[in-house]
Amino acid sequence: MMGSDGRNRNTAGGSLSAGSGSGRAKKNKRKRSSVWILMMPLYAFTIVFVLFPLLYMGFLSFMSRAEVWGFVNEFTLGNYKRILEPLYLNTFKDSLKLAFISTIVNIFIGYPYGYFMARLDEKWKRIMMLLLMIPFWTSGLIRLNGWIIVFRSNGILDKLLMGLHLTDAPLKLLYTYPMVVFGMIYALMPFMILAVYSSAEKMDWTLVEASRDLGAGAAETFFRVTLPLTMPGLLSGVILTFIPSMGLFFVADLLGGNKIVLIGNIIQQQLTKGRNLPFAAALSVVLMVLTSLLIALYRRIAGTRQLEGLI
Amino acid sequence: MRKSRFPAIYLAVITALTFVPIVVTIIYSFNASKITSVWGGFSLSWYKELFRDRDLFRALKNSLILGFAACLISAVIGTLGAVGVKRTGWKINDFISYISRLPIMIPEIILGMVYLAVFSFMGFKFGMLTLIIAHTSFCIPYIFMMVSDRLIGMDPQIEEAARDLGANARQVFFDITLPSITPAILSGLLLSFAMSFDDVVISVFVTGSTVNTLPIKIYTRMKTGVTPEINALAAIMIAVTMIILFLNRLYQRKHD
Amino acid sequence: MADNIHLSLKGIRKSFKSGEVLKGIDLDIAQGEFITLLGASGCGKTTTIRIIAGLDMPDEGRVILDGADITDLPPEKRNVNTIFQNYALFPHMNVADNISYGLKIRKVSKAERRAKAEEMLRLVRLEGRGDRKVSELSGGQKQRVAIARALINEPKVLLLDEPLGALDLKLRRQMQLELKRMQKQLGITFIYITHDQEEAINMSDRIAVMHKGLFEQIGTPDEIYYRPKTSYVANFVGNANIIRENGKTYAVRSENVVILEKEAAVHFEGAGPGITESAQEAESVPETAVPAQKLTIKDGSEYDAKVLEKSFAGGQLRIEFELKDGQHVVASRSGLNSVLTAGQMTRIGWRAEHAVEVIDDGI
Repeated sequence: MMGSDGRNRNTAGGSLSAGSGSGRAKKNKRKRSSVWILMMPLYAFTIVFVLFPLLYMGFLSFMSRAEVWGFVNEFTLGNYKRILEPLYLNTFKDSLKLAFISTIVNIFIGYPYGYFMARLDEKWKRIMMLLLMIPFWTSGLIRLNGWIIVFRSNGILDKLLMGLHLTDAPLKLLYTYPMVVFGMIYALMPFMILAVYSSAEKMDWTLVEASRDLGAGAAETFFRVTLPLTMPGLLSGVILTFIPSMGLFFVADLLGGNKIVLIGNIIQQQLTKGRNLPFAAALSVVLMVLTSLLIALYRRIAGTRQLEGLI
Repeated sequence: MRKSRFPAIYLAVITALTFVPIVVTIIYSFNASKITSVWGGFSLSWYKELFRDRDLFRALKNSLILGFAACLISAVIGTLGAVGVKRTGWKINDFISYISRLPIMIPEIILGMVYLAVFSFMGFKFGMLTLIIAHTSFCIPYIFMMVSDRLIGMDPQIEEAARDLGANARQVFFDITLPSITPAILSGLLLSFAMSFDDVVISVFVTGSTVNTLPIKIYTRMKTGVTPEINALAAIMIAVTMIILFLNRLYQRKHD
Repeated sequence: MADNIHLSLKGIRKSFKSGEVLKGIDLDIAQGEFITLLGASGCGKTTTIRIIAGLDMPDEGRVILDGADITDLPPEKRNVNTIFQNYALFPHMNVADNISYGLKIRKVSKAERRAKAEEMLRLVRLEGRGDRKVSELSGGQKQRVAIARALINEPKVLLLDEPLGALDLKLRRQMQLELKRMQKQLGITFIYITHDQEEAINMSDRIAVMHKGLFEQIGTPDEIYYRPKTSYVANFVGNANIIRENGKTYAVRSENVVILEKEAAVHFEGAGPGITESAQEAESVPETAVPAQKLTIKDGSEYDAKVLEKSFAGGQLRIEFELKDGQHVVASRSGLNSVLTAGQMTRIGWRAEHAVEVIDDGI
């Protein structure tokens, strides 16, 4: 039934290689495949538009500023010295402080959220994921706009509180430091939740039961079993909230008015108003070094390259 | 163990809070009053106003062109890159994929500043081209990572089986590899489009004076004082987001 | 054999980063033969068939199929197909598309593809399941689809990499018979990999026992089982005792070990064929012998032995003894128990014809 019907693949009838008889001892080599060509667009783009620009930024940071725009080809350490001035040093401190606070708050709000979510049944997991995704995918600006309507002077919140006679004057929450912190937390919380969730979801929950079975209390089980096992997610959540919160200048801009100044705002101002390219580059280099240290630290602790839940 | 109700309540409260700005925005988009804080009755006037706003529409068109271009270019670069990186196993691949991921690892402001400097150094005219390059740089990592993940999870013997059955390298890619990674490419596309469509920080620096994207327009208008028109626009964008997410869910369900 | 060589491996060597996996193997296979590569995991059997399939490239040596050197051909240009250990079915295609993939590649018309796929489904007894998703199939059904997908290409040689490894025992037995049936029916050369000696003996025309990248012995199941050439083969295939004596090495299968004292009564009750025979041959023992009587072996060797341990495995009672020089010997019996107790001294022995001299490779 499988008789030859002339359609059998031609098996190398003609391609007996010339040296095969005497080729016993020679090393065989098949023609190298050419899949590497596939990566070339990635290589080219990454080198030209990521690696080179970052190196160029490093170079710029050691140049002197030009009168109007651009730079003069003169080596200087002045840009870095200038960062040490109290004005800028304090900005770095403020930014780190803000990033620190919003990250901590995010841990306390986002961790239980991601943890509880992972314990839901499949149907509710899907529903919660969708609910989480709607704000996450909605433009950050639009969500800020919504909060402004709520918090602005004589806005919804003030009206509500005064209506309930809890306060008798507008709170004037907008354009304050807590407001900026709030905005950061709100903008970045989904990252924390998703990171924790993806880690808790993968966790083997029978380990928790085993721990309870062996006599550990709920708290002890949490700190000895659950927390260590979800640590990779928690750490990557920290990275994913800490790093962007140092650069999101528009949050500080829109919710803090001009009162709260972060590194992001200074870099932006140096570029747009100050027109000092080398100094902006130096600020960026310092910020970049800070974030690289954080990521390196993360890798050291978590022992992994991939950031959990970064999708 | 008794089931506590606390988790459910906690999840409900926090989720409800995240929806506050969205709900508020939608409600106030129908507000007749010009002052956002005052409720002046139901009206569609801001939607009418919005549809007459040529400026915003031009910005929307730019954002869509930008999003589609950046996503398609990065889908090609990212997918081919992920496949190549997995197949070749060169040592330097690790370095390049690390560098290629940097755009989403570092604060956006750095990327914005860097592109502003480099594009003026390279003599590029600021506008759509520079926007597309900048956005492509942060869209590639999403596609690359998602496709790489999928490739790692893929059974290598499936591709070998196809070769064994007579498929050449090209046929293996189109018949076996591509269908297996398509869901990953689509999720990557969706995510990177959302990121591109939402981006203000990087766009502000590379946009030049002639081309505006929607987020930039919204940002500048919000800075100069909230206009009710933005609420109407926001409501439409939220609706579109929800539709896209819903379609995505349908697709994913079909492919489970 | 020599006049009918279909596929031959000549001096194949292959190293990976972890070390040399194949150390120069030669093998000639006849048209329509069912040959099994038998060996423990890591012995190089999978690498061998990957080289035949073209999925790996040998460092040295040639692969000749029907007189043509195919060493340098990529897998898609060889008329050789593989059944992978985990089946490797395409998850995004249904059963029929999986099966007819090879034909699609060769641009066979859709109608013909469908007809052929139906024919193959019949062959593997999955009629009418062509529209099923791969994920809906059971392990055994996936296996059949993988077989159909390979056979539809009418390969000259079919390579099977532990194809039944993931199936449960009952299904394994059934699939062994079916594979054998298909092989006979189609007349295709099968190169089969397994680490299960029973499977190898049941199915093969010839068995090639592999060990550390070399063939220890190539021969019919009878030869491999009854006339092992090396101590490794004797131990791996026949589960034989390896006895070293006077500078020579012998293999004695456990069922041929006779217990000469106190066990006799139990022998006759349990009545394994080998035992009865041995006991009958032993001198001056009537069939209804009393336990305490002494037995001797006419032509063979006898030893004092201490009973170490008794265990029940694979439907047999295994009794482990220690000889005076410290060598361990295992005897196997049918039945559940024996009067021997651990620590007791006794005498054991075997007939000369049951001790096969083998080359000692340290096992």
